[in-house]
Amino acid sequence: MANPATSPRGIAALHVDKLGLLVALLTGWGLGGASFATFRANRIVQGSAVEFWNALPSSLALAAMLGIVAAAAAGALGRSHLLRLASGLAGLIVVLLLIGTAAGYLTSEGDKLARVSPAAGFWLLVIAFALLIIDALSRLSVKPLVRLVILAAFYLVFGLGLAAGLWDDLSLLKEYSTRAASFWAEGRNHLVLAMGSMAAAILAGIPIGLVCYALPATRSAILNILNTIQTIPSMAMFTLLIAPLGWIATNIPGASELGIRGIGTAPAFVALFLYSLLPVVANTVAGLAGVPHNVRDAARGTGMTAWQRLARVDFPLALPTILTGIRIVLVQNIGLVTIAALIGGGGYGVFVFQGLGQMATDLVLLGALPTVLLAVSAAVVLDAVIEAASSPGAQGKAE
Amino acid sequence: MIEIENVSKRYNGLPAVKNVSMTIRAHEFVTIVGMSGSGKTTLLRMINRLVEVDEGTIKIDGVDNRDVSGPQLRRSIGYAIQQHGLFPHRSVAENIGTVPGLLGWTVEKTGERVDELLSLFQLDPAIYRDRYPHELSGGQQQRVGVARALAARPNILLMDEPFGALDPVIRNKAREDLQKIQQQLGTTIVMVTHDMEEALALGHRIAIMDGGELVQFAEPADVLRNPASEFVESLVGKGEKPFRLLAFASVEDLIEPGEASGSPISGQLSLRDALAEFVAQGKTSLPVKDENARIVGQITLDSLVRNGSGTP
Repeated sequence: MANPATSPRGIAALHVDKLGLLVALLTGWGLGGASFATFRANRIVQGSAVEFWNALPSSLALAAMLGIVAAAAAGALGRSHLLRLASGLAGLIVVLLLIGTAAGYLTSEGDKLARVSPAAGFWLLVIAFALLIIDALSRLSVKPLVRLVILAAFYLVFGLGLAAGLWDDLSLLKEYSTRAASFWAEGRNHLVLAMGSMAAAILAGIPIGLVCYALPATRSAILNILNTIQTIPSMAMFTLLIAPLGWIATNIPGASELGIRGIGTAPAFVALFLYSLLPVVANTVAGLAGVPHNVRDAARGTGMTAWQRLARVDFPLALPTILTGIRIVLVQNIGLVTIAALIGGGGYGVFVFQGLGQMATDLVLLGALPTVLLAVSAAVVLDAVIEAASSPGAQGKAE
Repeated sequence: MIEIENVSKRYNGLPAVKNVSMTIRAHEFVTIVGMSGSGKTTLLRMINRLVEVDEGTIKIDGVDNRDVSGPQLRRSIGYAIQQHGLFPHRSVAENIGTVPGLLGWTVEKTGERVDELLSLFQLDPAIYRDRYPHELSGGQQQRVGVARALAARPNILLMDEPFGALDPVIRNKAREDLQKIQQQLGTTIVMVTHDMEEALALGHRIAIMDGGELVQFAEPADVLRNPASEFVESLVGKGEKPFRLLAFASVEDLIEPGEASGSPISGQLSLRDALAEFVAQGKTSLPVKDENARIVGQITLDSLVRNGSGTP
């Protein structure tokens, strides 16, 4: 690493930090060491690895390689965060465009059976440029509202690319085209499960948090129970709930009409709800405990009743912390719903487990990629909500 | 008028306030002084029932303070604390308008009152109304805290170490402002402090607490001349006592005919400050001027030393 104190100014301007080194290594490995795509004559046979320069027409391959090296070099050596952001975005877009082009180039005209999937080299390049973007965004300390705009722009560009058919020859989209209807249905299931259980946890968890706060004697007992629930592995939790819910469905009149069954949505919903309680309750307690003592005293001294103090002082001041808990819950649930597919809960996990069963990596991706996108989007949206709830007096809270 | 009659309070069996009786007159400024743990804050908080009494009664204008609900009682009594306790998520105007809002004043009436109070505390309403507490300096926060306590025009203002968090220069200014506002509004003020200097400077009468008991309740000069116990004596500080007594008399009281050299001092000056002038100018007599800067006589160091303690 260049040391600015001893090296001449001209050299200090071209400085390599740890991230730059990592990006350079990942790019080199992705371009030269690992295969860019996998080609299979049909969905079932063993695939063959295709190197970067074989995956594309030779003139394009050379230009693309130069472009990627240039973007990575600018990102790795550049000192300005904006330059890093720009080179990261440029590199990522180029790599995404190339995989679509490669799929079309490797598939002969009219061949409906051939499958082209991204391989390790593609993923290494994606990781390298994503690292640049993430690092630059966090170092530029981009406001959550701006992140929201960036997210919307990403969806717009990505959607336009999909609509234009840029990636239609990729195996991933071939899997999608045969399952389009169920893709959107499972997407809805996924969101309903994740957000429904979150809503239930908010409705139950905030009052439980209030009780914990108001009656310190109950606090450790309740939080210990919720902590213990959190330690149960999700697979075990889903399975454990099958028997009691099955019993309820057969023995309590009206329960099965409400959709309560040993397998399916009900145990998934209950399990996610139980996992969601701890972050909501713990953050409600922490938020309320964080209200400064003198503010609380002043609220009593001005003649507010207990409810007025809760509604006008304690709760508004605790809200940003409570929202942080809700953010954890939503991101966590979006991931956990995937596993709920095992017990018939639905969601994108359906594709993941089908794909695992059929050894079809692209089908796994069809479930995993939208899950990741949903989780990232939920985090960005809730960060913006937290920021909106915290302003404008929140900075004063620390005093 | 606040009548505190045989009031006691225990925490976990340990007495915090022991059988205290005192009457605070209307428009009076009373300071309660004592070490930490002396029960002074508990006594103050029992007046507006932030702490409930175990024994005894507290009457406000002849009415037992338990005849109305706690919140209702507290809306009629101003309350200002150390570190101001402003609501960080509410603007200055919203903070000051808290009690009027609870009492159901109209938005218009509350807004007028907020502007009136901001002006009274030398904060331009146009600039400060919509600011948030963290955007104010410590002195401004403290003033907004007192303004909030006075918003619904209470007859009584309770203050718990209101200047504790201010640095010394701002603290002196805040004390002077509070004195002026008390004279202007005639509010009865009960203020808790651990600072004897502050208690002597502000209180019409001083209540001294020790170990939960009220050991003396008298005017400042009286406390200095006739301390009720050794504890009070030590609180006043033996070495400080003569200088503190000098602070209660002014140059006017000791003026005598004659001409002295040196730069003239004002007749309004306290004897304590006059003594400082003698030392600073290296003289034993100084000319005295009136408000129009006319020389009206002189003051001698000799008479200051002989008569300064106020006891003939």
